[in-house]
Amino acid sequence: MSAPSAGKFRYGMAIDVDRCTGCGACMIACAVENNTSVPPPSAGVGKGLTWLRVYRADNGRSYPDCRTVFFPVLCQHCGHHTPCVSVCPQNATDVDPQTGVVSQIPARCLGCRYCMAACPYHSRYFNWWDPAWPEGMEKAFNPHVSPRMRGVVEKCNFCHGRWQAARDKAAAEGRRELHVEEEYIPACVEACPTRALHFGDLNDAKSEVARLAHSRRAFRLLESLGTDPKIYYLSDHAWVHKLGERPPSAAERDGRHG
Amino acid sequence: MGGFSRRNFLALLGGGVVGTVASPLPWKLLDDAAIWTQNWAWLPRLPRGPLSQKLSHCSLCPGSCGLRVRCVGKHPYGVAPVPGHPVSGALCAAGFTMHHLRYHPSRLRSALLRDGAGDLQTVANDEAVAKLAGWLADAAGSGEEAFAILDNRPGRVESLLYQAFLGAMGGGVYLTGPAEDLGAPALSNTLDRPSGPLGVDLSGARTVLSFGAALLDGWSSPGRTLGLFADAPPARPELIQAETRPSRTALKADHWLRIKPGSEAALALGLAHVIVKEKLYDRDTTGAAHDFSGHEDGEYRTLLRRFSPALAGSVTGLSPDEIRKTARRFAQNTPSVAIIGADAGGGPLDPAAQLAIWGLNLLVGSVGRTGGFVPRRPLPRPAGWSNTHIAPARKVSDIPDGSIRLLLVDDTLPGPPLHPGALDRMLARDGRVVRLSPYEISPTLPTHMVLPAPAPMETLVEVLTPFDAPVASYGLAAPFYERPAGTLSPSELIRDLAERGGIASPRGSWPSKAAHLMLARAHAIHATGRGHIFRGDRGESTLAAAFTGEALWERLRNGACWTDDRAPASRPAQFHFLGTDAEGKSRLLATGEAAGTSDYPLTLMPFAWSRGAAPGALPQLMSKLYRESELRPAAGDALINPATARELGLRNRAAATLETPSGSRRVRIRFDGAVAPDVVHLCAGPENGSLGDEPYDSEESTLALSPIQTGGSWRATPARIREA
Repeated sequence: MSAPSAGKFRYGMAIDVDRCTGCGACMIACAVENNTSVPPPSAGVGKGLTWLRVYRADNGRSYPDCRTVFFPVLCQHCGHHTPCVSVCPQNATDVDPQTGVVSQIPARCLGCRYCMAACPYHSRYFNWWDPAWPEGMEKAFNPHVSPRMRGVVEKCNFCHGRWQAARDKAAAEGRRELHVEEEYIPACVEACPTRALHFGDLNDAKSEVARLAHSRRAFRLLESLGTDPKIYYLSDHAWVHKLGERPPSAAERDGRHG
Repeated sequence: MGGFSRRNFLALLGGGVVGTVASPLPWKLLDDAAIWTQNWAWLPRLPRGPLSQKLSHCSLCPGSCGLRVRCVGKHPYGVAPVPGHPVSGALCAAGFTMHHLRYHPSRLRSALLRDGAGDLQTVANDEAVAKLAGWLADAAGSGEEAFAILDNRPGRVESLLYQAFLGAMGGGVYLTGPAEDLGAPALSNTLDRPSGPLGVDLSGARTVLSFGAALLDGWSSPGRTLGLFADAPPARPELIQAETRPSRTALKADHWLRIKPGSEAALALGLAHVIVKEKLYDRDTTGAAHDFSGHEDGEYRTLLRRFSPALAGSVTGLSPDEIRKTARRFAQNTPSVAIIGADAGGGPLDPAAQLAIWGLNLLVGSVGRTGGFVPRRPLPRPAGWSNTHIAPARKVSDIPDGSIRLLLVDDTLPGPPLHPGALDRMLARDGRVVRLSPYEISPTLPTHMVLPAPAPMETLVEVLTPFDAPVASYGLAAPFYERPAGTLSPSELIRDLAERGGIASPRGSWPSKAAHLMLARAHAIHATGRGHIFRGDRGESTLAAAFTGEALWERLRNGACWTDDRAPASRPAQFHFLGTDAEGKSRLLATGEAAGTSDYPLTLMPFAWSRGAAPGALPQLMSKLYRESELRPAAGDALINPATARELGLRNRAAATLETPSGSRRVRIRFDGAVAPDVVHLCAGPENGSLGDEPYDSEESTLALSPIQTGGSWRATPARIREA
């Protein structure tokens, strides 16, 4: 567990993969919240736009010893040596020193995709095509999130629109403090039916997410790279912790479905 | 002194270039170009307006989950669950994007009629309904029971209208679609009196033995069931999943019994053998009523004696020890329930298996007790709508072959698909199928006419009691959009057909709006004096009796949910393990091992996720789960064990042809190490065209490969596969 950042807040998540059933509600809630478009049918899995993507992984054993987990993977909001921020020529991505959130500003992005090459978590997505929505569907857009056009990268920003709305509400009530666990809840966390996702301020020792992040069940993905991600995964099983140490092989990615 | 020479000019030019590059100007121009290119005039603009939130319910399935609908102006822009909702406080993936369905690319705004060349052409609604009325008159004139209505969401007030119309017409048949249930008809088979509506008190159970029920993947109200199993035991029931396929429920269950295809009955009988032999059955019910020495119980005992753990193990593929452990766990860690599952693509379990599974429930005394199966009062009907003058609900399997000349299918609300074999069997050779649907229809479904119906969130819709709920519930899914002109609701269609055909309503007149009947139902609910009203905005429940009928209706219109009080439970005094139906009994007695064939060495088991199985439109954003991530398999994905595949010379992700004695289909191979050897799990839905951005690639239903067998099941079919 790394030291708290210099900022006042350090927003992060704890995801209990033992609870996750891979239902995908978080993926759809995220796509709706962020006005994410649907690539054309010819786009394969590699060109999808899934800010939050759930992967299935198993322990590689046969029945009756086979075990499966589902891993929701999103931007890890790295805190140290942020690979994507280091390479962006446009300042289109940056770590907010106050919140620790790694932002993405599509209006500045020129689509060089250096950040995608740099990101070890494959959690950045490129708009290969102009987005196409059925006629009239812009009336159903979330008014807090701008749609992105062809040629820019996009990724999870911890529902920045919801953070802004929570801050506006707090300001209207004369408060500077946000009641994070009641007022600022990302769409994926709100959607999860098994309460596998927890969000909050990792700097607040009393918060549920900080407590979970410090538990013995917690681990982070590719921790050896030193990126200090703010997404903590929780599991009781050692084989699941080991999965976090290396990216899955092609055979492991391809062989798991259902 | 010199003038301005060429060298000066070149120096100025070179210096200007270097200076410009070193300045912020090119980067600013690049920046501005990036911003400019993202703000073309044709790009969609975000909606503006006051923000609000309204309560409602989801109508995409019978789960009846509560919703908070976030609106900008009057338009929904997002949907969220209602924490603490008494029926379901969470949503499935499809529910989050239900407000997009109005804009689906395959949305219909006028009728379609099949022409002489076999193509569906756009026609005026009036012309289509007139044609339908003509077909109806022909069918009615041809003989009895030649016209049928297939209702995919029975129990609504629209369902009552269908039944009343058919009753008034005389000779019409009312059919209900293949919705999942708890297998109550099989239980009724064991009792001296039919069992009324039943629910299951899962939160009170300590052990749940599920025979293929997708408890962790869309069963009933997915939010409620998933929430129940989220914690670890003993905070929630222990889950044992008996299923061939490595479904999500099987993979995440506390214990997965990977049984051979079609061996559910053998497993249930093997478990019952151990329970009876070791006297682990509930003495209060089973012990009091059955000492297994009477003639009927003697037959059951003889059957059980045959299904020793060794035989049951041989049929199911489990070890005898596993069977003994499971039986002891089930019988001793009570209250325990055995749940009969149905797969949205694979269909129901064989009736013999259902009977055997109910036998387990009766042995451990889980029928009629807290933590088990509990009686539930039926939802009140609107006053004046008793069973008089309405056609009774019938089963598709009871319809004589080739007897239906006109079938009207209500596809306004999604439901699991009817097996194509069942439809083909009951249709006459010149039979016609008319569908009432908001969307274009998959070419895999026989269709002669489609009438455009309202989409979700365009009309007021009832959300009724989920099939497993221990108490009745009632809510409304509110309209948020003006529905397009030309769409026909079921009540409007019935009224129109009745007027054209001169069919008088026995209740005076056909209601112009279903909402009038819903109001009447709300008054009927109020008249019971029972139950509570839950308000999602406050997260609190109030006694329903505290409201007037009108106030209760207003609450319901504003998204509240009524739940009934629990009915008193009592255990059945008398029951027959082998059932009272002779055919069912003989099938149960004949339970044994299924034989494979050398020509078709594999076993094909179709399957589908309940939210993806319904024919019709799937919200486009669901592509995140399919095309963009492959988190879920789609129609045509064939899951196979890598070792089996290598023996057959198949490669992962290769195109292949899957054949059964009934036909063949192109599939995509997907390796999955958790699949049993010699089994192929073929995903039956959703079809690629259901997202609306590409055509359907097949006119052949996946289910056509698996014919319905004796008993009404199509779970396991001999098959073979070769790479294309």
